[in-house]
Amino acid sequence: MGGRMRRSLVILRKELKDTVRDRRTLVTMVLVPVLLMPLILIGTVKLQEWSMRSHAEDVVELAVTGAEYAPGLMDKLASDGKIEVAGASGDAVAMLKDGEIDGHLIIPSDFEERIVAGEGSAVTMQANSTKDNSAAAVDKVALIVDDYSEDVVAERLRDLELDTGVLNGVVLVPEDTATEKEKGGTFLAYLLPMFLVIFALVGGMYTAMDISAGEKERKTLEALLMTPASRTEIVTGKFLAVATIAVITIVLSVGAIFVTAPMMASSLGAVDVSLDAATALIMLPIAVLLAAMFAALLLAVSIFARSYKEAQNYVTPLYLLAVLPVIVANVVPSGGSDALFVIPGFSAVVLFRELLMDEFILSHILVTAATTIIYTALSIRWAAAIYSRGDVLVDEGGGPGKAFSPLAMLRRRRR
Amino acid sequence: MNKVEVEALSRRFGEMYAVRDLSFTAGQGEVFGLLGPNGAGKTTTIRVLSTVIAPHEGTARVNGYDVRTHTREVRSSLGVLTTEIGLYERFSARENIAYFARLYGMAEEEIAPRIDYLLDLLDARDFQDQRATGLSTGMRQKVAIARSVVHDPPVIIFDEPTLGLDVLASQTVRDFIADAREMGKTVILSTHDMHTAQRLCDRLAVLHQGNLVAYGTPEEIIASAGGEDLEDAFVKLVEGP
Repeated sequence: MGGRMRRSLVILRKELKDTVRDRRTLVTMVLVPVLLMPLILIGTVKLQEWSMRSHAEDVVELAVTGAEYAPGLMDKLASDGKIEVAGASGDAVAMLKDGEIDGHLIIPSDFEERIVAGEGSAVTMQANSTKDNSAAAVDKVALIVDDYSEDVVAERLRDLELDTGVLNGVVLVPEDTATEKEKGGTFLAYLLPMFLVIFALVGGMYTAMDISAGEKERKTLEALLMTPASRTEIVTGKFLAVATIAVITIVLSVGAIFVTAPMMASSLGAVDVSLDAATALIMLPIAVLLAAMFAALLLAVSIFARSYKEAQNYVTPLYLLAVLPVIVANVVPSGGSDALFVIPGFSAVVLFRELLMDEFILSHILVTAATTIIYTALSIRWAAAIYSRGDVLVDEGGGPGKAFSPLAMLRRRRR
Repeated sequence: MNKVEVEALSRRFGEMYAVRDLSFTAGQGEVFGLLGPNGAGKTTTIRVLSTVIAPHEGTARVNGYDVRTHTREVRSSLGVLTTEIGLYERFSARENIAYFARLYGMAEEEIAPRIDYLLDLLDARDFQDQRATGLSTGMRQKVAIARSVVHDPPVIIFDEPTLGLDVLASQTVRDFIADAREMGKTVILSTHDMHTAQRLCDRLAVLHQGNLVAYGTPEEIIASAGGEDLEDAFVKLVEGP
């Protein structure tokens, strides 16, 4: 092994060891992707289930005006068991607002007469849509009223000696031909691409700040610069460390998603959340390249800062810039123009989603791969150029925020 | 034989000269003092010699290698102790030194015995496995010294090596410098401590506002500037008679 690569590997090994001993970085690298993210995902799904179940179990407090005009309907409401009927007294609108009742059913005085006469009749359901229980009460009462209505219609048809099927001209029978695998792909398509790209950035973020600005703050960088390791060897070692951490985070987060996905998927019906080899073989290198691109950008930006804290100020805009296209990509439809696939981050999310949904569009794969390689190479080159500048690495006494500010650098370049 | 040669060296920051037209030499087995008040240009000179920054004018050679063209060879020939002792806090004293030994290209089998030797020399064995975060200033300074000379360089640059140290730790550092001279090393010592400079340095350069204002043995400088000792002479050189 050449001396050059050997020094870079010495730096890589040291940075990885240092990272493993840093609780702050470990939290970002392991705790968040492996524990917190699945917990949030499972928690969200389970919370929705719990909320739906709990609404179904809730007893609706229903005030009824004119109950005496519809004994049949009232019997139906009472037999449900989840509806507690009370006579309307006082201002129902105010009671709905205060949550004293969940709904107010108003039955007209001619209700039963019209039903008996074979005519249509209407009941009014007052509810307050800003109250969860009230909105659920409307659904519950509507079901019972529909059920009652069907009974009335069925009886009328029987009187006319007609079958109830006479009402159904054409019935649509839905049949889902999607396989469990395809359903799993769709399910993963909403989760995996976004996490892959976000963790490619976040995974290495703290390590990048720690081994650049943090090293400057701890006054170890100057000693490092005085060793025979060249700036290129130093930046290579540090870059490899950040990229490695980011890739480990990606692997851990994807692993965590695959472990927890079946738990979430079970709530949504039978799905297969496995990943086929072809999809993985395209996604993994692109995710690794993205991690490398972000690693180089994070290192280049962080080194301008004189402290870890200052680096956070520089990295936050980069994070927002990187995450914005990812969020946009998650809501745009698949199969867009090839030109869209030159946008870093965005292209990966859309491409990953297409692949997970079994849409292999060659031009999208090629454009994404080519542009990601180009952006990664440019980012690494930029980071290497920044690390070759003495005024960025060493405080030359320019005063706070002067020698090190990226804005100051741009101003100097313009002059 | 001159191990450090500085010729008409200048370095600016913006429009301001940090060092202007500086020339001096330091020979093998010599302790050469760089004296001057804050902002005199001592640290800038050290940074140029250690290739962290490049000179704007003039040149400098370390162990025969030009600081502009042979940066790697210069850095291999040098052991530099900077004013601010930065150690990797999550690494032990020994791990800190070993990391630099590897960066200096030492073979794995040479590293452990060399570190043992330096830890014994600096009386630092007791805390070798302690993480840097728990070390006192004196302990940190000893680790930083061991780190800077782990590769046994022919030229050693110490920038304020006794700053903030107690009497015993300062004595250890002074003994180390004296031992280095005995071993034929060239030591560039930048210090504010005039007594240490007078006692240890064979020759001196006094810098003021980036300019060389005196150059010679301590005795020659005291004689030319006047005063009872180096401290008196230094004050006269910097503030005027």
